[in-house]
Amino acid sequence: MSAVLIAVSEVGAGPELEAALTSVRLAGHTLLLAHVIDNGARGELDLIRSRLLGRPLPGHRLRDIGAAERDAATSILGEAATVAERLGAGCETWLGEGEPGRELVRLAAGGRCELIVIGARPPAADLRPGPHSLGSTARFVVDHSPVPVLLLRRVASGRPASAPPPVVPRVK
Amino acid sequence: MAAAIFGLVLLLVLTRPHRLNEAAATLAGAAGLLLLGLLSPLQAASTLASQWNLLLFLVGLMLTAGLADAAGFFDAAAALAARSARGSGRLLLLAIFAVGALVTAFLSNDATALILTPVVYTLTTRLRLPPLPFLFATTFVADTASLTLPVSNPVNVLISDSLQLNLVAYAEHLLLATLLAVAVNAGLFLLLFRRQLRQRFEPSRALQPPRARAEQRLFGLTTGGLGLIALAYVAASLARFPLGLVAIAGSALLAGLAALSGGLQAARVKEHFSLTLLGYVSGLLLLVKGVELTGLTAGLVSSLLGFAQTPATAAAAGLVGAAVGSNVLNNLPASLVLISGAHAAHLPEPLLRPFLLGSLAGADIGPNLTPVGSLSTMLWLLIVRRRGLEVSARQYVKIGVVVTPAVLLTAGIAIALGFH
Repeated sequence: MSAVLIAVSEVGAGPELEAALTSVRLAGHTLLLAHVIDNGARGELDLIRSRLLGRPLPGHRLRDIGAAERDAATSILGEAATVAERLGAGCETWLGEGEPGRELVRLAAGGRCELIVIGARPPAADLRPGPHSLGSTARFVVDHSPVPVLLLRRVASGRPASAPPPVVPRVK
Repeated sequence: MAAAIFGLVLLLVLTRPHRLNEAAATLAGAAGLLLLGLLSPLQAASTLASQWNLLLFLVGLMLTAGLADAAGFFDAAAALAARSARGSGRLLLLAIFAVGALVTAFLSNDATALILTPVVYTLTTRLRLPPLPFLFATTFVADTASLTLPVSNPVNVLISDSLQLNLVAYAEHLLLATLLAVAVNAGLFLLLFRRQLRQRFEPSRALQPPRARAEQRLFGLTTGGLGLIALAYVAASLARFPLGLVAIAGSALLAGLAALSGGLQAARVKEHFSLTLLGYVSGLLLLVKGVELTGLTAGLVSSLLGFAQTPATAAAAGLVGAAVGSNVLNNLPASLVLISGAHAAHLPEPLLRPFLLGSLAGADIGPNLTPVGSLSTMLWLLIVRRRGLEVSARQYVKIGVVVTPAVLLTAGIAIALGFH
């Protein structure tokens, strides 16, 4: 059966995830809680070190980073699954590694899901609507997803980052 | 001709065609100078011999940092920062500033930038905090706090050697500047990253598995050894004893202590040792000597000081010259050029010291401005590039372009007031 893919950010369980779970009709769908370990920062640290010192990151350091990333990701997905169960939704979890947007799209393209639910931006970011109000992961998913995308926007209080551009009358 | 070779080498180092090794580029340039007779073998030998202190210092520093890392010192420092922050993102940023400043002061900016940064990344991943503010804090404090002591940055060793400064004179001119620069840097970071830092964390997530007895012993001995090395650096700077010898003796002490506790891991120490860096610095020393012989460096410094007739303005000229130079050439070659020029131009004593101390601050802090200058800005450039610029490039640009001039200005005013 086709599932609804819920993208779980690094925050794990929180109001954003509950909003995502309650915004889809839970009955009749299996939820696929997906989280991707973003390994970009690790690659960048390695690149910078190679560039400055002529040596890559030491092996033990890479192992430490990898273990920290896996531990954090496992607990994030565990928390998310607990929330889903509390809300009475059956779920599976999926853990990927790479560039988050790309991995989520790849997962959806595998035919396992009919809808992707994703937050517009990480909760720590500026949540006001306006230009550039989509985070890089959400933007990639919106641009490339083979299935419909439900974009969740948790609007912070306050005015929009900028007013919509004025309508310019066409000159004949 | 020598200047053309110098320019070509710097271009090769910056662009790295075919991933060309930096050491190969500077050493080939130096060989070119020798072959063309622009530098005699005797001059080359005496240039390298006169900088033995710097070269030994670099070797000692890399070994000391490697031994400290193998003993788990950096992981323990990061874990301590996490515990003392008691769940607050803001306090964690300040704690990381403090740890970074201490590591930089005694183990130099490269130890903070190259060893502490991945450790801080591991920590923030475990704590499930957004890593960027903390990575930027580590890389920025590596530069800002590198004003602290003569050992905190290889540039400081060069300049305090060339001015024959002891620690008292050094601190008299730079201590206030350092404290203010670090405070302004930390304050601006709290402001710029206020949204990400609102997040709280669960300190128990950073808990490390307890160390085995032997590891505990190695860690205790190494920490004690590092304390002794820090004291020895302070004493040596006071007495103007060569810091290179202290650095080598310090690394020998740590290696001895590690062997004593049965935990000397040569392979892990080797991972932090880079012949490339030594080759790069040696080649640079020779290239700058070649350019100095043409009279170009003296001309450059004379023109920089054209409008600066008082000590305070000389300090400002040095600061701006070194900061701009660090972003065009990278900070080590820039400060080598300024030191060589200041001596070759026979600056009068009342201007020489403020000019070179201003240059020191410019070369230490200035690299944060643009991607060429230092690690931290390279980091943001990479991140912006990878994120495809659509996130909030302004935020990242703000960090380098707002924070660095503010920190430089603070340090510059403090140094200039000291000479007023």
